Amino acid sequence: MRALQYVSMLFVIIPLTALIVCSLIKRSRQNAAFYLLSAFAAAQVGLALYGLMLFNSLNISEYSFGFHITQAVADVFTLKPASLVMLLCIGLVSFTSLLVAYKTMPANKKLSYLRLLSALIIGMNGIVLVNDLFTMYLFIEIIGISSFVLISTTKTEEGLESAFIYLVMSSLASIMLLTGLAFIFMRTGSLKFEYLIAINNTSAEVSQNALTYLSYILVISGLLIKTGAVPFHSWLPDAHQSADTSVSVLLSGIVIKAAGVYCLMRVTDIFGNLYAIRLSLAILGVITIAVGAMFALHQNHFKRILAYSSVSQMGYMLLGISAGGILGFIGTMLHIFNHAVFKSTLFTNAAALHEEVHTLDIDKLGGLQKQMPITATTSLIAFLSTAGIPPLSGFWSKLLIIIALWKANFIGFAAAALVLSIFTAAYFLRLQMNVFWGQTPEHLQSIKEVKGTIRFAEIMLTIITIAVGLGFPFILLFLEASGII
Amino acid sequence: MKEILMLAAICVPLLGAFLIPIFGKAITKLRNALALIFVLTALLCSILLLPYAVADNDAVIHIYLPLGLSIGFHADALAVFMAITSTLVSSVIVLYSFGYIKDYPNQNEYYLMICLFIGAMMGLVYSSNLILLYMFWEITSFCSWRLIGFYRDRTALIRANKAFITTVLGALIMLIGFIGIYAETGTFDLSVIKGYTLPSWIVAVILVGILTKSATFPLHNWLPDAGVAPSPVTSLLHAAVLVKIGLYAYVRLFVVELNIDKVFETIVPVIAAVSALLSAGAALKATDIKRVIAYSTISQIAFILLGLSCGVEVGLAGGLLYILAHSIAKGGLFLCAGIVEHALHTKDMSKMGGLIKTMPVTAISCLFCALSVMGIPPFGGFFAKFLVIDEIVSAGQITLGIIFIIGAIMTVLYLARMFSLVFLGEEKAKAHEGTKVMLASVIILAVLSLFMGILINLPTELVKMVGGLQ
Amino acid sequence: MEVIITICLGFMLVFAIVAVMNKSLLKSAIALALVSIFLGVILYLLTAKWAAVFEVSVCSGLVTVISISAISLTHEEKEQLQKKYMDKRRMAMLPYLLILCGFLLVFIVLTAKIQLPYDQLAEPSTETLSEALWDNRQADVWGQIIILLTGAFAVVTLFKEA
Repeated sequence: MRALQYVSMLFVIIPLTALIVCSLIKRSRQNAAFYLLSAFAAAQVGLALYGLMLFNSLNISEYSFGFHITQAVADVFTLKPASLVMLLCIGLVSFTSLLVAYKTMPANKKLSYLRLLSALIIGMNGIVLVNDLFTMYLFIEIIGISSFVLISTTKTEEGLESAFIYLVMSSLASIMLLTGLAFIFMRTGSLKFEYLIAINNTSAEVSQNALTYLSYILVISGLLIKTGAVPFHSWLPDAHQSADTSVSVLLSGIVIKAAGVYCLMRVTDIFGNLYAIRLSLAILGVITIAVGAMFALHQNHFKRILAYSSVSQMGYMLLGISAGGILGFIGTMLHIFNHAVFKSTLFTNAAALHEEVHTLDIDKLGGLQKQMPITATTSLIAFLSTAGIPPLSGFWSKLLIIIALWKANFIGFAAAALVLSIFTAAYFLRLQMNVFWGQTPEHLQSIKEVKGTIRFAEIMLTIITIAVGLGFPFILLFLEASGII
Repeated sequence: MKEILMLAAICVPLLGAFLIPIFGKAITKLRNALALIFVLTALLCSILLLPYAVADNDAVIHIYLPLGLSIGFHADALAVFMAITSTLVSSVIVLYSFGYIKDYPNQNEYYLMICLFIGAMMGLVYSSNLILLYMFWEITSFCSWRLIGFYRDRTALIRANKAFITTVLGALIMLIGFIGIYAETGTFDLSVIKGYTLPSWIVAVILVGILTKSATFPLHNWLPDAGVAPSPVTSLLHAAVLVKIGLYAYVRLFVVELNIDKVFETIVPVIAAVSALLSAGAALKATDIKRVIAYSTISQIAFILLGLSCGVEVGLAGGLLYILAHSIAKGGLFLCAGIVEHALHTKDMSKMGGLIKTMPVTAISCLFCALSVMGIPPFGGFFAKFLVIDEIVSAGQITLGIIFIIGAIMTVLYLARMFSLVFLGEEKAKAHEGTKVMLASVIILAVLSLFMGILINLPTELVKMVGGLQ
Repeated sequence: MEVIITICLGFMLVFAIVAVMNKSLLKSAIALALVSIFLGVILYLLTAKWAAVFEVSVCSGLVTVISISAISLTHEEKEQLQKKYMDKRRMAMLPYLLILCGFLLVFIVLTAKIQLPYDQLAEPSTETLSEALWDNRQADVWGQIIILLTGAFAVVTLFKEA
């Protein structure tokens, strides 16, 4: 128990320390800050894994803790297995982003990047640890501010414009979320999760109330904007394309999931059993998959294709949430983890291409397999994982979501989700054909493979993809032994 | 002991494929030899499993997993038969590749993909769990994608993408059927659900996947276009192994393990008959040598499907025998076409002619293989076709029998046309014989076609056992 | 009291439209301050005294001071930028239209006697401010501190010259 207490407190203390260090450190020592923050991110990954093992051995399902400076203060944070998985993703994606930023961030912006990254990590850690809707909203705001400024760190004109679009959409999301929260508070008098789940939100008189439905719609719409689901996805491609690649890694890898999908999961815990809500989430999920994939087929910029691919994958997570039940929950969490890994791999490949070739327009690239073998192979494996080719990890999470949908009687949606994954394969085939697999044009003959931290990031993430894919039987057996399945 | 043999048959090519680039960077001859050794190991282990399967002492591996999944492998007569067929032809093709590929770049990837493909094929025929089947199915799609686009020019890449998308789409639709089976029975494990009757919609959906993989009309477009691949690749994928996956799945799922509605015994033969006749017609008109052979493949596969699906037990045996005969003979045909193409650098038959004078060995091997495909005794193809036609007619399906005979006549016609255009007549271009290794491969296959006919009772015994598995 | 609250809402709406659509930045800043003053009045009338105090002091006090100092310090660049980004084809009547809609809304709410839940106002709680903040909502206080720090970093990052 002591170990668990220390581990959980560390999840809050580590990013706070990082923030303080980064705000006090001198410009000349910024590399030291880089190493420190990387160490912290790696430590968060390790702590999350250790926490999962502790949870398994102690056989508990959640753990509340707080910072008891005065006496008799309620426990403000709660640690759950789902939170630990999210903390693992947060640590992993932040680590990748740091590895990429080491090469791609201009030197005079590195310290700003580090400070905002620490703030972002605090925001994300906070979201997965709190047990109150309003506090969750507060931490979503932190994420909104930090990511908005992170998008605009390289002050290009399009960067500022897309950051502004993101800010406007984010404010819209905040307004909807806050109004919805206000209505819920008006009706129930408390915003704590346990209280809201306990008062049985699906009783008949409650669900007939128009105000209740309005509050649910507002909250879900606000969170859908943050997720980047259709029809609220318009900010996503611009933000990913014009931000520096390390920021794109963060955005796609964890921000849209911590602030969006995970919060949707917590919120649907409260009122998710309403059939109308589950049906609408499922329909939106399928539409998101289709629209994201169709748009991705026509893009010419590497990062834009990846951004629309993220939109498409969010659709799968929405389907997993709408399926409900334990299988849908596990499928969605696994898909969050898998998506973090393979999308980060792809964005790291984009960073590698940008570093070496200085362009990301796929019409100008071609046949780089020979010149950049590691980038090409890692992008190939990431693509196969996204498209859901077994035995890589992406297939298993999709399979779980499809089975969960089938069991929840959403058979048409399951079939549609399966058939639509061919579009994922299609746009990635186009990407591979135009960038890596082909004849090398004259002006690209002398390109060298990228070295250093970016290469390390690519290889590390690919190993994780393959390991989780091949080791999926072990994951299943572990889940069964813990009594979850 | 038998379990170890089965595991070796699957894992040696599958995992050994990843060792190949490592050796390839060091010594190329060692890498080539290693590739051949891996495939031969699979062949040897499958042959050694034969006595166990015949004696009804099948090798079984079964590791239980939650959610109806499992890691299950089962070496029954059907699996061993398909394994031996595939690895036999594949080892000859690997041998042929030594001579064909040696001047092209990206050889490491080529041998990796070939070994991975054969490993996946082994996994597929031995697996006894639907999701495992699907997994190896997709791995073969991936390998064939990389192999079809081997030459890396734009046309090849586009055709490779098309093949990938068609087969993967079919597989995804088939997965819907598998999940339907899971929803009905609660498991993906074939050993548990043996004898279960499938609802018709699941059969229809799984059939879509099978038809795309075995290139049956109307989902056959990817096969002739995939002729842009190197000849050993075309031989491996489109004659010997890849197209047989669909047929194997049909036998495994619908004949041996599960029951399907009787109506499919009418529908599937009709689809197969249409496909057979249409592609035979296209073969008569094509001018690209590989396209002729590709359309011929579509046609012959349709015939095999006809035999397998008409619900007659000896038809099943005939179909399986024809899988063996066709793999050997069609593989040989593609390899001969490869020798011609390697020498003349063209695939257009109007530019060829009279090659029998300068390439006698190739011509005779091509003749043997063509005679086997046409179904002329004493080659193997004849016995297989005869079994199928005989049983179809005595089972009362006269129309199907007539269609079969018409198709057989068309087969003779277009293959004879091809042979005469390429090897007979006046010489249009100078050519030389292929290298010794390439010639050795086609000779092996030609001789095997002949011997299969002479020693026909050996495979027939094995194939009759498959019928007993129902 | 409902009448006063509704009228205050109407004025809030009017001044918010002025703040967003006015061409002069100075007038927009002052309109923003007026919005928050009216919001403070509403909060006070709904018996949330501390919230009213925070609202008026932060928004119409602190924010207005900062905006007006920033506006006056960047007078030169602002003129040139405004010439570049002024949207000349904007519908000139749009702000007046929106304000008219605002007045209409107020009128409708007042006359149609829409039932706003003013009678369900809670009793002012007996906790002190420090208890309410630190004991009940400690996580929010942590969050607020982090937001302030993040905001500071954001401003520094956005506006620092290379």
